[in-house]
Amino acid sequence: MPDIDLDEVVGGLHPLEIRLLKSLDGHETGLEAAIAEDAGLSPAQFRRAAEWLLTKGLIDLVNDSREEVVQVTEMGERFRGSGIPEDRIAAELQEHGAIAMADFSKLEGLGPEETFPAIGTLKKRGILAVDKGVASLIDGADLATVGEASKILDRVCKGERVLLSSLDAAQTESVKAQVHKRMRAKGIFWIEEEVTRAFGLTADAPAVIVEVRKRGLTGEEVSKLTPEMLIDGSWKGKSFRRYNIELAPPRTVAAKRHPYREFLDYVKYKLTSMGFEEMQGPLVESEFWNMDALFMPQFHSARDIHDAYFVEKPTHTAEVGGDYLDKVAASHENGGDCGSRGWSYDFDRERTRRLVLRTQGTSLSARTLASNPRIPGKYFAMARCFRYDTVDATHGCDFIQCEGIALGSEINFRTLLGLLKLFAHEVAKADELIFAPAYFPFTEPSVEAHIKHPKLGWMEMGGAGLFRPEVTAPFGIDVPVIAWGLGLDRMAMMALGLNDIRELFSRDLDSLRTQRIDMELE
Amino acid sequence: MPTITADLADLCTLMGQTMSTVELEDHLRLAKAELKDVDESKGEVRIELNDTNRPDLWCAEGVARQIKSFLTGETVHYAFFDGSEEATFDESTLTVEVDPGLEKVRPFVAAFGARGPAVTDEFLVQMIQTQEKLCENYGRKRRNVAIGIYNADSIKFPVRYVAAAPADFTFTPLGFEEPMTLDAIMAEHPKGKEYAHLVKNLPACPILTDAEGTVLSFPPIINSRETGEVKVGDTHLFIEATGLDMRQLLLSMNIMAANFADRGWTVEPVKVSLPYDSEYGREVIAPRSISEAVTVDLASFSAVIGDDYESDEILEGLRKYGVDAVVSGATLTSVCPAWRDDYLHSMDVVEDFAISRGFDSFEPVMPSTFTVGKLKPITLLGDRIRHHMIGFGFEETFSNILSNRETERTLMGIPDEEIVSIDNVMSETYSVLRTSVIPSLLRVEAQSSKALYPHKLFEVGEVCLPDGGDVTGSRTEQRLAAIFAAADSGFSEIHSALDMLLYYLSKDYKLRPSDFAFYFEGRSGEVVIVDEAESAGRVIGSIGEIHPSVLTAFGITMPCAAFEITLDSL
Repeated sequence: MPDIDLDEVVGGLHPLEIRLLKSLDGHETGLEAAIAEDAGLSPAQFRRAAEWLLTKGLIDLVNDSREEVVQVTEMGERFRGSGIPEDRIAAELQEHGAIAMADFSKLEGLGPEETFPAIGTLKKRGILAVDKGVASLIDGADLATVGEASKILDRVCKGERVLLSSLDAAQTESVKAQVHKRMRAKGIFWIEEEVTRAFGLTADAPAVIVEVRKRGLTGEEVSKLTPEMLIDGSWKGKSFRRYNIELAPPRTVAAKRHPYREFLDYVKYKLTSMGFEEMQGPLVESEFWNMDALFMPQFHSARDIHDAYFVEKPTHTAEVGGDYLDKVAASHENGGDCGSRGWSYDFDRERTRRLVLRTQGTSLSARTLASNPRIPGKYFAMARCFRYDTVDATHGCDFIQCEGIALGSEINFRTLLGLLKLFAHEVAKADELIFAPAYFPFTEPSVEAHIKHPKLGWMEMGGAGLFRPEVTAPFGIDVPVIAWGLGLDRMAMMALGLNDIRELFSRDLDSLRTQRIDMELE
Repeated sequence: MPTITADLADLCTLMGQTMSTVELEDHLRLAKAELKDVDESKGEVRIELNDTNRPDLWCAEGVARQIKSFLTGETVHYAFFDGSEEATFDESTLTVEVDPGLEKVRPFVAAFGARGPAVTDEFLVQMIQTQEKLCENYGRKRRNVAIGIYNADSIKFPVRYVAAAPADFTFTPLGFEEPMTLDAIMAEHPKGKEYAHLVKNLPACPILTDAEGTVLSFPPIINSRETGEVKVGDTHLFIEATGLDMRQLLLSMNIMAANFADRGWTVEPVKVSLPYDSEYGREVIAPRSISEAVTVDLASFSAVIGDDYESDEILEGLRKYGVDAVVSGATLTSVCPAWRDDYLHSMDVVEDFAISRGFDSFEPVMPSTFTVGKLKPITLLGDRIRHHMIGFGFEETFSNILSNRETERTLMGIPDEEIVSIDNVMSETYSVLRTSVIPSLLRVEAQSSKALYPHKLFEVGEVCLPDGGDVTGSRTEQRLAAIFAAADSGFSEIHSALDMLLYYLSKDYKLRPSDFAFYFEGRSGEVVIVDEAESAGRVIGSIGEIHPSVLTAFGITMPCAAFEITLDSL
């Protein structure tokens, strides 16, 4: 048994192929025209089907020959039986000797447009001469070829297949003399080049044909259901071709969300479904909201020129913090009235107006604390942030930070852990997590959550903590506030199968078209 | 964040217990530290310390001390912090006298002596690492704290801290053979070049000499070659720190003194006599306790963590974290250990207790209060628009918004008008905030000529525009931009998308012919919202075919049409 998958081959046969195979069945070989006729295929259909079957190795081309066949044009048909003009004129002259040119018009069925070119041709062949308006045969002219063309014309018209190669030299010459080189319509003959191909079944074919018959495939199956069939009801009597639905479909270029945004949307919907309200703010932020309000001392290393991008113009905001400025300053200098000793340094009010490109989404949490937040309340932001970093596979020139706060009297460290557990379960699809002590200038206690990602293994999910009283007190917030941040970059890269963080913002449309989110979204 | 290298065996000796790296990794959490690397062949570990407010942990001794308390359940005590050794202090041997001229130069110095078993290879490595971390990280690259260590046997006390003129003071610095003037050291010595800026503009240079005038060092730059080099085998050392804030200097000395004591050395206090005031008076003996007592409402431990704790449990937990405390009534009083100075608020004491208990021991509770989840109206509008654009067959792109003048201005053919740019640029490629989304889309198009056409792309995203009317000088806007790139692309296709979008958003609009630098002349206009309230209409954006010269500049060979509108103005 040949190593072909019968099911696959038979299932994939097009009706045209079935018809061709069936008509070849039982014959060693078959000529193209004969098979086509037998199978009821047009030459074009035959060629397509034969091409497919050759590719599939079910038929072989056993002979491929080309022959020149003499054919009669539409004009030639008119001289059937009566002979072509040259032959008739030559015959008249043989009978009557000389004929006045004017009398040629009396010849039945010939007009001047036919007689004059014919006389010209005979003159050239040295058969006829015209003297003072009278035409006569030249003595000793070779008349052997006269009448040959007319005889061949009659043979072809009777249906005989006359091959050019079967004619002798004189006959060939007289036929070719009547073929108009440029316009077929002006000649009497034309030469058709006939390609004769013969096909035979391959060793694989019989088994396929047996299977085709077994399945009762006729090749008469209809491919498409059309509106007309539905209108006139003719679909009822038809046999519809079964599709091979296992074949690969053509590729669709789909309009779709950007894969990273799709991931961020997913997180966004998750957070809103957990009762978080969105925060937003400007890309250009003052150091006040970005750092001072978060109790990051002005000498903190995250505030120097190697960590934040400073704005060139204007360098400072005209005004910032309003009534909160004094309280935040006191918080840094001596702790204000929240029971802290503060950082014990001279708070620089000029510095607090310095403009930076937002380095952390926590600035939005600070702004929220200062604008009458709901208590209890839960807030989140997906904020574009900037850090002074060399751009490489793990650092983008800008990135999305997801973070927020939850505030209320029921908030404590255990509810913070509960929230982190919820994030791990809902956002990261991780059930195993551990909590490690961490340090952030604005939270105490601070914690880092590490999750066991279903695919990546243990990884950091994010950082969190209770906002320090030095952060909340200046804004008059007297309930505990949880601040949390999630590291989405790595989770997104994992979900999108990327190794380089820069690819999250890829400019290559081809790769965007193939990227997809590989995680369970529920 | 500081990263240190430690010898695992040395660490175990200091902890008083042998530990595998796996166990160590667990215990490092107590110090907010992570095990970064293990070099099995050398028996070395690399540890990252995450608490930038705990410089005492940036050394093997400090990490071990934190873990040791946890293992033994006891706090660590050093007699020299309690003032009890002050009585035995011999004034004739170890003192430092300070020149009044230093008040405006580098006013403070603190020091101590240490006598003990010979310095080992491992101790020397750790000592230098600790010195470096304290100076570079905690001391802000030696500005606030610079530490020098000397063989004390070659020093005649009292040590003098003096203000010197840079031109006429000479000594041989470490790493050089010949005496050099202070000016020459600043100009030629590698450390001089690195740190000269810290003293350049001062009225004088700070210099430490011994009683006979032999130079010990030129802080914060370099030690003397003769006295200022510690070697393996040394048994008597003098350690000093100079800087701007006495409390920081004392903390640095306390950390180092505790480290010496942990290795069996005897710490000899040193008295500094100042001719001007410090936070600790004019006579400052180091090491000494620096922290004030912190009182904590006992109830706040339970309230902050969300569980009930008895005072015994709290005291035990703090003890295991190396913190002594006493309870009186409903109040707990605790003093931050002398090698730490991170108690700003009672909350910091609560955290120590929580860490000691172990975060994994707290049962997470779900917040039960009902709150309403909500997206900003502009986010909802952006999402609606994104869905419509995708429905119209546009593919979404997502770009970085740090860009450069070349892309935003030169390639777009826009005159070099104002743009929000970065002062401390790291790379010209990322030096301005984009003012439009169209250039971002054109850059995608420029990189995607091999992707099957047509390209219908859009992005909803932020831009930042200079705005003199805003106190910050700029404003952030949400924009939608779309481009249509195809051989037969033209105005009508992109217009059709805009038209349908504004129809679905129930906005009446018209296009008002107008020329833009980046659109083809005669094929562009403003998008104007027709509104009863505003008779002139409200311009929300632009539309047009991208100018062939702009396409060429971007390296695009496919015709493109585009529009961009501001969501905030809709």
